[in-house]
Order: sequence, then structure tokens, then C-alpha cells
Amino acid sequence: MPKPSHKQNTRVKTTKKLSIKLGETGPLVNAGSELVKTSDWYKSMVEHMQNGVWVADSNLRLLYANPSICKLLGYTYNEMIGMHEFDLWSKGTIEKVKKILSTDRKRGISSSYEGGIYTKSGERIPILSHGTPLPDGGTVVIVTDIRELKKKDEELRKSEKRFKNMANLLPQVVFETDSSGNLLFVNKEAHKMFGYSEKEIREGINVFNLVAKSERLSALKNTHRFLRDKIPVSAEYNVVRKDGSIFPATIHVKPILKDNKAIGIRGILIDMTEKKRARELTLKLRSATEHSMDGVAMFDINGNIEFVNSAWAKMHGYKSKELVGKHLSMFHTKSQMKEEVLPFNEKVYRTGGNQGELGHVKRDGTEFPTFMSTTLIKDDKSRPIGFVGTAHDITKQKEAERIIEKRVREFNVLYRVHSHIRMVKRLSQVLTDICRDLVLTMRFPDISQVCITFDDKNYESSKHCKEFKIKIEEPIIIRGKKRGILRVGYTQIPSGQHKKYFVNIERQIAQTVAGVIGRHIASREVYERYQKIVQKSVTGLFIMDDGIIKEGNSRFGKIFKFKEKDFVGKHITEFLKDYDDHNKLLNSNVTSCSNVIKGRRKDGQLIDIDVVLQRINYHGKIGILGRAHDITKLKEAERKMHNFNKELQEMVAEKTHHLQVANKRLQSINKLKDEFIAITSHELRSPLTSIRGYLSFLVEDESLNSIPEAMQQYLLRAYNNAESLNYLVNNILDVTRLDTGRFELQIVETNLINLVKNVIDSLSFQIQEKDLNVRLNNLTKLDKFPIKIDTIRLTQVLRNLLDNAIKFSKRGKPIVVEISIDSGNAVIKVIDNGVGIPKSQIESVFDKFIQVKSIETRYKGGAGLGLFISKRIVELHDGIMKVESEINKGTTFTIQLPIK
Amino acid sequence: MAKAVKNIKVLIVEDDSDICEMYAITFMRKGFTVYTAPDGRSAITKFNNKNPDIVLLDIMMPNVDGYQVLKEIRKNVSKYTPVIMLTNLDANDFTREAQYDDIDEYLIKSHNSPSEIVEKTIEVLKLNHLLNDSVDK
Repeated sequence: MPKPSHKQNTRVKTTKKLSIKLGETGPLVNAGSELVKTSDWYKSMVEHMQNGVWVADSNLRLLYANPSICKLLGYTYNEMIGMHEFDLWSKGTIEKVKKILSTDRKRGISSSYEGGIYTKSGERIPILSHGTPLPDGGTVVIVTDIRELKKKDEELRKSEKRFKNMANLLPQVVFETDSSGNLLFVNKEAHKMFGYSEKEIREGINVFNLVAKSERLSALKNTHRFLRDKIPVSAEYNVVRKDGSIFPATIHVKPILKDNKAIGIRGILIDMTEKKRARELTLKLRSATEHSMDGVAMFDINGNIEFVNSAWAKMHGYKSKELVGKHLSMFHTKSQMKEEVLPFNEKVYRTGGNQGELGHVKRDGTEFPTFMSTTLIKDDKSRPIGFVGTAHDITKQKEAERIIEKRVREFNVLYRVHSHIRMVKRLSQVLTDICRDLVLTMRFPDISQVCITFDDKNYESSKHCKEFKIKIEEPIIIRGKKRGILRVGYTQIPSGQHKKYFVNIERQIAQTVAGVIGRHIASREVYERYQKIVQKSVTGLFIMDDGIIKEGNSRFGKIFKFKEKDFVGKHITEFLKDYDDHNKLLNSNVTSCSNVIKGRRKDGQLIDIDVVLQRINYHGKIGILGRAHDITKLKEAERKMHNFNKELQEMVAEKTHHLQVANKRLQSINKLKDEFIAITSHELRSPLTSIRGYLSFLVEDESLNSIPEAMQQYLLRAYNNAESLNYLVNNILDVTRLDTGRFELQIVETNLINLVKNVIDSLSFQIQEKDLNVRLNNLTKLDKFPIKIDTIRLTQVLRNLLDNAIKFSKRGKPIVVEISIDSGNAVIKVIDNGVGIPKSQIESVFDKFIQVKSIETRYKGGAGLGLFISKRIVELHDGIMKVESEINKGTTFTIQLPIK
Repeated sequence: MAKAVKNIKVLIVEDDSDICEMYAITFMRKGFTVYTAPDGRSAITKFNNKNPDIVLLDIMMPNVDGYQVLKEIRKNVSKYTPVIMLTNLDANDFTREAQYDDIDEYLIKSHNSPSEIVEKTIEVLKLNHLLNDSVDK
């Protein structure tokens, strides 16, 4: 800073001149007191003094005036003597003198003051006067003409102004204070820097108030010391602006000396804000550099080390101190230098900087990768003077990168695979896409190929798959069953790759992908199965959320005549007119409900819907699963059915009525028939009864003998024919009953053995008459054979059979009646050795009105109704009647009756 | 309480006088005491007055028929009187109106001669212990 210091010097010189001037008055005052002692010596001295001197009495009347004052004022000595001081002083001076008289002079203190004095001609001369009180109350006044001084002073002021202007130009604060620190002068920069106006400074500001409070005391102490020692000093303080803000500043001060005494301070103040900041920054940077994790090194232009931080040194296995001055080649192997470092640095020289990966070597010889960033350092004239390099050990990073790269590849594969396995695509498409994309994710896509075999179908990454040179096979397993194979590999062995290590990476990928494919196909199959079920369902299925249809199967659309999925997003009330089960389902414990309500098709037609709603969890919210059945046709059918039923009922009722009427008529007809048969049998039998009864009286032996023999024969014939007629009438009545269905059995339990015996007994007359041998052959060995039958009717049957047997047997022939049990049936056989029945007629033997006719048998009487009636009676007992016969050998009738 | 045949009172209810007489003769010849009634109403009167041991009852009769007479007879619960239905109606016709349990025998007139009727009656009397077993048919 040569310029400011120069200015300061000027200022100091000027001040010296002034102080010399002021110092001259001192001896004069002393001379005044000497005068009293040696008046003559002093008188002549006073006479020759250049300064004007007078002595006044206590009334300020002049007692003495020296020639200089007389000459100055133009008065003669005589004129001067006796003049009042006030006649000489200018007006302003008089006031000053009056003040001095009342203060200093009274106390006997001499005083100096500037003033004006008038000459005899009335000219005002500026003077400096020095009054000293005398013991007798008078005063010695020494008057100095300061017209020359004033002129010089003017010049000085001008130079001071120049100096001030110059000071104002300085960028630093320049200030002067008195010895206690009150500011006497500041340059404009000070106003700017501190914010005070000129007026405020003039009114008095102490320089210590500008020092920050915390440092004020030390500043005072320092200043005190410095004023004592009187040597220029520099100090740093935080100083305060008018607005209270604080900034650091350096202050250079020098005492203002007068008579070797410090009377003030002169100094400059420099704002250190920027500098301090820069300095701190430098410190921080140095610290940062030193503590940086990265190695930092500074080289000269030849590559010799000027500085390294500890990280750099440590990285290479050295200490920082031992590296300074060494060449950078010690950090690289020869080949690194040749292949990497030289080209790298060449670019640094050429372009001013370079960064990239560089191989380094440690002290122990291990190589490691770094990321170097090097910048060329240039001087002011852009000449390269060195370079700075930072090195970051990227060994771990490299390792991490390698892992990340692997992971990224895996993720990439998975992403691609996952992006393909969407259900919307066909499986073949998905598998082909996976093959193709898997190739792209391989490290050497150009020679990669992927092949999936699934369910005996092949999916390949390219149409012309070659033979694998390196191949990894992974099974595609679905629910524990191997369904296919994923083949991943290369058609060539990539150069520089170790086969074993190399394949490991691909194997992991292949395993993962095979797993994903397996799971995908498994879920796809499940999905497709359910989808098929849902889509093929004859029930309309839908899911709604908040009343909006979210999903539905095609049947649902079909029911409402909506095209595929058009219904999604529509409100349920568009489909189900009176739908109101929503709240019921959502706000109660009911989890499902069903209803038959009206639905509206897209074409507006109303249909009947049987809907079942069920509360379900739909993506974490409450949704409703609905099943809808179009039952319009069913309803229609129901209605038709209902109507039909009604008609049918009416018809049935009508028919029933007709039937009832008919039945009534039939009943009455039946009754009539019953009555007819009853009356007929009664009316036919009654006369027969009388005839037979009375004839029986006559054919009794007693009465028969009392009439002539010829008459006897007539009587017997009449009786026999009456018997025949009775038999015929009974048979005709039975046939009539059988034909009209009015034949009823009177079932009672009876002993079959006795019944048969009774029948044989009742025929004893006829048997004896023909001298036949009728034998009962009881094969059951039972005395009692209880059986439930109509005894009268069965008696009739047996009698009929025995009658026939007797009728068609020749005299003396045996007849056997055999009773046996055969598998739950009572079997009665009537066996005769009679004429037998011809084969041609045996089938019609049970027909109505049939009588076997042959030369042998001729007409044997009867209407041929007996066997017909007998067979029917047995059948009414749920029995069977059979006949076996052989001409001239005999006939066997067999009756089987169930033992109930 | 077996009785002698001559003490057995037989009530024959028959509207056909020829037939009635024919049976009466047959029973009297066997020694029975015989009462006859030509219709249902007189049959009931005779049954109440004569207190017979057995009744041979026809069905088809004017005014009151045999069924009503049977009903009337069975009204008396203090004494059981055997009843033989003696008619020319088939058993079918009888069961439409009455029950076998109420009678002791059902005989069709035209199937049996008068002497056979007496034999069956004696059997019924013996079953009811009204006649000694020693009595011959």
C-alpha cells in the first residue's frame, strides 16, 4: 500500500509545522516575568522585540507600549500611553477579553487568544495576544501580528482540504482522534462504511464506541499502551456500524505526537470481511483437503510431488512426508504408466483437465483401480505450472458395480419375463416372447439362444436355432410335475470367458425364469379353468361395488342383451329395476339373500330374474357377488302350468261329477241287478222247494210203498227231474252272478279234512247206487287242516267234481280224493278211473255250456256249467284248477288253494 | 239245559204257506212243538209270546222281512235264541244286509230236502246244548 502511506506522511509534516508555530509563544511569557527582575535588560529586550508588547494597569489603561506595537498600530508612544485596551480591540476580541478578565486573569493565569486589533487608521489586524496578569493587578499583553500566519494558515487549510479530498478517495477509512479517542476527522469511506453522517461525526463520536462491545475494553487497554509506547501498531477488531451490524476490520494506528507527547491517534481501518472470509476459506479448504477421503496430490509440471494429503499417502501405503519431491511414476506400474497414465496426462496438458479410471499400485505392489480427476494449474500468464489430482479408490465400488450389474441383469430378465406373463396373451405367445427377451438379457445376445419345451411343444428365440455349445437346462415344474424344459445357452463359447464361472450367472437366471414360468402356467391353468367355469356358467355372475357392476361373465351380458363387457361400470338399477337389497346386505348380518325381481334388458324388455346376492370381499372392500337367472320362460311356463292346472281341475271336477252321476246310475243298476238275481233265484227256487219238498215226502219208503208200483215209478221220475231242475237253476244263477261280477265269497276258517269228508258223505247215496269205492287219501297226516275258504262254494266245487267222477265212472270202479300240501298250497285231487276226456276237448272242458260228448259218455244231463263255475270259484280263492285225462283210463282234477 | 224233543219249540217263519206247512209237517213228525208265522210282524209277536227255542227264518216276506225279524230277536240280550236262516236267497244277498255272526246256520231251501233241514236244525240245537246228544237225527 504505497499510496496511502505517502498521504499519511504529508499530513504528519503539516501538523509539525503548526506545532512549531504554537510553541514559540512559550518563551515570551517567561520573558515577561524576567522583565520585572531586571527591568533594564528586559526593557531593551522588549524595545527590540518584533512582537508588540504593552503593559496595562488594572483599569486596562496602557502604562507602557513598545515600539513594535506603536509601529504596528501607527500610534506614537505618547499617544498609546493612557489609552484603554478596549479602544484598541475589535469588538469580538473585547468580548473575549472581558471573559478572560472575569476568569483566568482573576486567578492570575495567563491566557492566549486570537483576536483583532485596530490601527490608528482603523485597519483591523488579526493578532494573537497573550495576556499575563501582574501582581499589582495590571497586565502584560503581547500582541503578535498574525497576518502572515493567517496567510500560511490559509495555504495550510487548502492543502489540508486537498489531503482530505485525497483521503476521501481512499478505499480505507482514515481517521484522526484526540488522545481520548474522540473523532476529529474521518474520510468519506468511513461514512460509507459505518453509516454515520458528517454532522453526526462532527458532533462527537468516540472511536471506541465503534469497537464491538465485547472487545471495547481490550481496545481501550491496547490504545493506552500504544499511546504510552508511541509506536505505530496494527490490530484486528470487530467493529460496529450505525445499524448495529458487526464486521471484522484491521486497524493501523500511529499516535499524533506533540512535544513528544501523544495528543491523538491517526489511523486507517480496513474492512476485513472479505479477506477474513477468504482466509477462513483457505483454512477450511486446507483442512478439507487434508481430511478428504479422496487422495489429493499436487504435482509440478514435471510430475514431481509438491503436496499430498494423508489419504493419498495412505491409499498407496506411504506417509505424506516421505512423498514430497518424488515422481508420480512411483504410483503406477510400468504398464499402467504406458497404457493409462501417459495418455491420461497427455489430455490433461492438452485440454486443462481429465478424469477417468486409472490403475494405481501400492507400495507393496498390489494394483488397485482409482477414479482420477486431474486439473492443470496455470499461472497469471496461462503458463502451466503444475497439476492437481484427486484419486478415489474404487476397488469396492468396482466390486459393488459388478454385483449391481449382475442384479440389474437379473431384474431386467425378471422384468421382461413378468411383463410377458399376462393372462391376456396366449401361452404360446408368452413363451415365445420370454425366449426372445431372455436372449436380449444375456451377456452375449448375438450368440445366445433360448428354447422352451412345454407339453411337447417347442418355443424358440429364433426360427433357426443352432446347436448349443454351452447349455443350461432347467425343468419347468408345475404342481410337482415336470412339464417342460427351459434351455438357455450360447452357440459359441465367448472369447475370454471362463466356462464354469460364466455359466453360473446364466444358471441363476434360468432357474429363476423357469420358476416364474412354472408358477405362471400353474396360475394360468387355474385361472383358465375358473374362467371357463365362470364364462360357461348358465348362471349370470356379476360383482358390484357400491352398486356399480365391476365384473360379470358373458351369461350376465346375454341375459340383459348386452354385448361383451358393455355392462361394466353401469349401475345395478339399470339391470334390476327394483333392486333394494343393497342396504340389507351391507348394513346387517345377512350375508346373502335371494329374490325374484323384474329385470330390464338393454332393449327395454322386462324379464323375470331370480337373483341371489352375497356379500364378498372385493379388493379389500365390501362388494356384492350376484347370481342372476333368467326365469322369464320358467315363469311363463309356470303361468301356463298354473292355468292348465286350473283348467284341468275344472275338467276333473266336471268329469268327476259325470262319473259320480254315472256311478250312481251304475250303483242303482247294480242294485237292480242284485235285486233281479235275488228275486229271480227266490222266485225260481220257491216253487221248486215246494215241489221237491212234497215229492220227498212221497218218495219216502213208508208213503212210497202205499201207492201202486206203476205210480211209484212216475213219482221217482218227477222227483229226479225236479232235482235236475233245481241243480240247473242253481248253476244258471251262479253263472249269472259270475258274469255280472256279483259273485262274492264268504271266507271263514274251516277244517278242510272235515269239509271233504262231509262232501263224500253227502254223496253216499249215489256212490252206493253205482257200487263205487270212494276213498279219502289224506297225505297230510293231519286231523285238522285249517284253511280260510268259502265253505259253501268249495263244497259246491268238490261236490261237482265228485258228481262228475261218479257220473263218468263205471260200476265198481274206485275214486280217490287226495289231500296234500305242496309249497304253501293245499292240493286236493279227485282221481277217477272213468271214461276220460278226449285230448281234443280237454282244453274246453272248463268252458261254459260245454259237455264232453262221445259215444261212450253220451248225454249225461246237466247244462255243462259245473266245471266252469268250479274253476271260477277256485280262481276267486286265488287258486288253480287243472285237469289231466286219458281216454278210458280216467281223469284227475287238481285244485290248488293257497293256505292263507 | 237239554230238553226232550217234544219240549223243543220251533218257530218257522215262512210266507209261502205250502212250504211252511211242508216244514211244519216234517218237524212235527219228528216230535217238535211247532209254531208258524206267515210274515215278519207276526213272527216277532210269536217270538215274544211263544218264546221258541229255535227260529227258522225266511228272508223275503211281505211287510217286515227276515233281516228286521233277526234284528228284533237279537235285541233281547237276556236270552240267546238260535236262528237258522232258511231262504232261497244266496248267502251273498244275505251278507249285504246282515251278518253271519248273528245266525247259527244258513240254509238254502232248494238245496235241502225237508228232512235235511230237520237234521241241520237238530245239529244246531245240539251245538247250543238245547237237545241231548243221544237224540237221533
